[in-house]
Formats: sequence, structure tokens, C-alpha cells
Amino acid sequence: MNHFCQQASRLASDKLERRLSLNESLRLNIHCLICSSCRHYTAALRLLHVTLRKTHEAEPPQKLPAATRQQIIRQCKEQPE
Amino acid sequence: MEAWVSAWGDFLFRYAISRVQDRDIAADLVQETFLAAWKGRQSFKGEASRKTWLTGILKHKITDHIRQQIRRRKLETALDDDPASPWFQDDHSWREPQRAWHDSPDRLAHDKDFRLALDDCLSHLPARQRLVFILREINGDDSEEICKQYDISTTNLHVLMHRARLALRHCLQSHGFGASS
Ligand SMILES: [Zn+2]
Repeated sequence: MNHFCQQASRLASDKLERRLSLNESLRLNIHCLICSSCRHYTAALRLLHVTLRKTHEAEPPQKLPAATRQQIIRQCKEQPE
Repeated sequence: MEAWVSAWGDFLFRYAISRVQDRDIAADLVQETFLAAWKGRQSFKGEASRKTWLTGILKHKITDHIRQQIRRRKLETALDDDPASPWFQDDHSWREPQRAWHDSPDRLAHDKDFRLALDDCLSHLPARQRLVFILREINGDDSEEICKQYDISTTNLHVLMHRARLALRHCLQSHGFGASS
């Protein structure tokens, strides 16, 4: 007998990318009722999704290194007008 | 030129870093961008803003760089396309039971160890998977734009995201993030 878990894991990911069809959404939800692995995996993806967006916001501001700045200005000056 | 660099240098640098994940490469790409913009300054018609124009040039440089990288790492790209999943058994059930993960996104996002683990896990993804995943999930870029820029179908994008999530979830768990104690 084939299990639905592999498909469920794909649907759990797709759910974060697109709107699932009613049929897909029902199949995923019903499967998660009986399968704790898929239930935990689906919840983990959602947690990861929210966390990753927050890591982007928490990123410290990056500055273009001074050496690169000087190099750019020098190289542009060397260009013929 | 000095004015351009001070006005948009940091912005372009941040934009490049978030896409190539390497400070040195990002700095090189920004440098090439300013040089190309300077050489082509006559062709700037002023229809778009100067910032949009520069960002457009940078986007091309980033795409070229990533295509080169993918070409150079043929092996990794082959892995990208491998449909066999190490996470499932032949009957499509999980190889290992999945455990519950309770944590706070706010806490994790500011946790240094989590960030280190995340960087390590991301670095182990095949090149294209990593790129698409970062653009989409971390930077929050529009899927349509990603598909157009990297010439992949929406279904391809969803497959790459799915594989990246499976791999990340398991990698993070091996670093101690992903199962509640
Ligand atoms: Zn299942």
C-alpha cells in the first residue's frame, strides 16, 4: 500500500507558494488528522517560513566597503570621456 | 560618479549580498555595475529612475554570475534534478518519523546559533535550489519574477522550494533546531 506522506509534504510546501485547490487542501488536512509526521512537518514548514522572513528583517545593514568605493571612482575616472 | 556611489552604493551592495550570499562577489558585482553604468551613461534616457536603472544593470550581472556558477557546478545541477528523495521509503511513507517543533520565530530570528546553522544548511543546498529558496523565502521576491529571471516554470519553482524545505528541515534538526525537547 502506498502512503500519502510524500505527496502531503509537497502539498505542505505548495501551500506556502500558491492557493491549494479545495480537493488538495482537504486531502492534506484529512491526512494530517491521522498522520502525526505530516502534521508536525506541515507545522514545522510554517514555523520555518515565518522565521526566515524575520531573519531577513533582523539582518544588520551592510555597507559597501570603502576600498570598493575608491576603486569604482578611480576606474571611472580612468575611462575616456 | 562619487555622488552615485554614495547615493546607491550601499543599496546595491545589500541587494547583491542578499542574492549571492558572498560579500566579495557582491562588491565585485556592484563595482562592475557602476562601471557599466558609467560607460553607458549616455544611453540613460531618464525614463526610469536612476536607482531602477542601476538595479536593472546589477540584476543582469547577478543573473550572469549565477548562470556561470551553475554551469561550473554541473554535478550540483544534476542533483537538483534528481527526483529520488532520501526522506521517503519506496511506499512514500517517511523514512524517519517527523517530530513536533515548537519555537518562537522572533526568538529564532535573533538567535546567533540558529543563524549559523541556517547559513550552514543553506550552503549545502544545490546551487539553483539555494538561490531560488533564498530569493523566495528569505527575500520574499515575487515568484513570477524569479521564474522569468532564471527561466524556470512555476512548477519547477515549486519543486525546488519543496526539495529545499525538506533538506533544510532535516539539516536544521541535525543542528538541534527542529524538535521540541
Ligand atoms: Zn503522512
